Amino acid sequence: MDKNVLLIDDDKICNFITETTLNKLGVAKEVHSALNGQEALDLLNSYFLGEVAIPDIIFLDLNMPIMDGFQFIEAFKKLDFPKKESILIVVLTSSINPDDVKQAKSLGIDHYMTKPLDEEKILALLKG
Amino acid sequence: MKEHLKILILEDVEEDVELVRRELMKEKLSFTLYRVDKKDEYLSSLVEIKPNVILSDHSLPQFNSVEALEISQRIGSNIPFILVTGTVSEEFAVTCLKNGADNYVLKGNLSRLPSAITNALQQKATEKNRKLAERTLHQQNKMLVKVNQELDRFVYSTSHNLRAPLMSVLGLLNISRKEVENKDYGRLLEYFGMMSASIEKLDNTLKEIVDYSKNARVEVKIEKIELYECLQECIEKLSFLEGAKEIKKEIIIDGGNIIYCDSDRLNVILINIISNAIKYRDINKEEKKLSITVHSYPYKTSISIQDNGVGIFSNYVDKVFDMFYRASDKSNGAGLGLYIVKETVEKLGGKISIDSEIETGTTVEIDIPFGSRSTK
Repeated sequence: MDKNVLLIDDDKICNFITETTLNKLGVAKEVHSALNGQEALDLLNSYFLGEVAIPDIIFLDLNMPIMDGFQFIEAFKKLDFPKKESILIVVLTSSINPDDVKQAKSLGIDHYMTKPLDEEKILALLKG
Repeated sequence: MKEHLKILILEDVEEDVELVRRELMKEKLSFTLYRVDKKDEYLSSLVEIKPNVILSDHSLPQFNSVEALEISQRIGSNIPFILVTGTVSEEFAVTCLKNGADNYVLKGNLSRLPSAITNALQQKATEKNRKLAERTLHQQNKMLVKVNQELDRFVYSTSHNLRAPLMSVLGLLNISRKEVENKDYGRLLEYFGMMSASIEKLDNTLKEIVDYSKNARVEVKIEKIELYECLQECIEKLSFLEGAKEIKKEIIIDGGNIIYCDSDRLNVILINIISNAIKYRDINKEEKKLSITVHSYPYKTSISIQDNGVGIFSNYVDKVFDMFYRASDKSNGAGLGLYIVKETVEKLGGKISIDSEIETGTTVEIDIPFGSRSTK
């Protein structure tokens, strides 16, 4: 279950927690993190340069400066990317606002998790 | 009835006009009668004279009262329209009223006319007031809906901003627990440090919310302020911030050192802006500078806070005063800081503007209508 992971959260500590948890679960291969949507897009673009492995899964926070999670999803959809459809996007947020869930769903995001990270849910998701 | 009335009368028989005039004079109404009997005259009179009342005979050479009423309604004049006519059937009279005429008076019973006019005018006035009240109510309703939506947004955003650091602490606790279970204590101190940082972030958000609420609720309180000392105090309070000590600070007071203003609010404004200047200093610059210039006048104080920090991208500059807007990852609160500053400046009746250039620095200019004189 070695997955390449991209973490997008403006809180460095959150990225650290997710990375540590995934490592402990032994499910992560290459983990990269970005502090906002724009940084993540830049990282994804550097895939073309062969610097970064294509992620299998993206953990995405919603509330971020510069480019938030919703904007990232919109921009990601427009990216020209090989096997883009196979990349799993998981919203991981501390927001409990039902409107956020609705908006994420309307953008086609199927996996929505609220923090703190639930190890069992992660395992179930990666196995499924 | 004191108001002078402009009465437009649609009548082709001169004698009938005189009968009407006499009846109205008996009641000591102050009025001017304008007689017309042709359609084009009627139309132009409606526009030019702007009558207060229309009295209309039923049958006229070119048209009739039904058409006259229609015309008056079509131009949206809402002028009281009273049918003054010879014998008509009750049915016809009812139809006229249904169509929107305010009343009808028979020529054989003209003594009713003055009260019919007065009543119609009163009715229109009441109607107008009711419509105005309805419109006001509608507007207030709309405003309340907006305020409620803002409140919802505020509650959600705030709960998110409070929840985020809490969830980090919870996540770190989970990781720490695992480490302890495995008797691996090596990284615990590192986790504790992160927990402290998260808790500090939460505390910052709480402080911002309190500042926001205070500004909205607490009355403006004017006190004597010593500018230089006040600025020094703010800088001193922020000296614990990372990088604060490397910044070369300069305070220039032009005009008197004493002003009369709300000292709590002035502190909130200064602390927020100065802490931004420290937080967003440019670490690549050899000399980091912060220059505060104050010009005090009798009834106005202008404060300019200039730094040579990292600056703000031009497309974010307009948004930095928005609620919950964060232009940078370095932002260590809820994105309320500059919003509170703007709200506070506005509560003081002042103005704030920001000018920034990336890699060059940022200048914040504040004008507040308080100065060296204690009262206006």
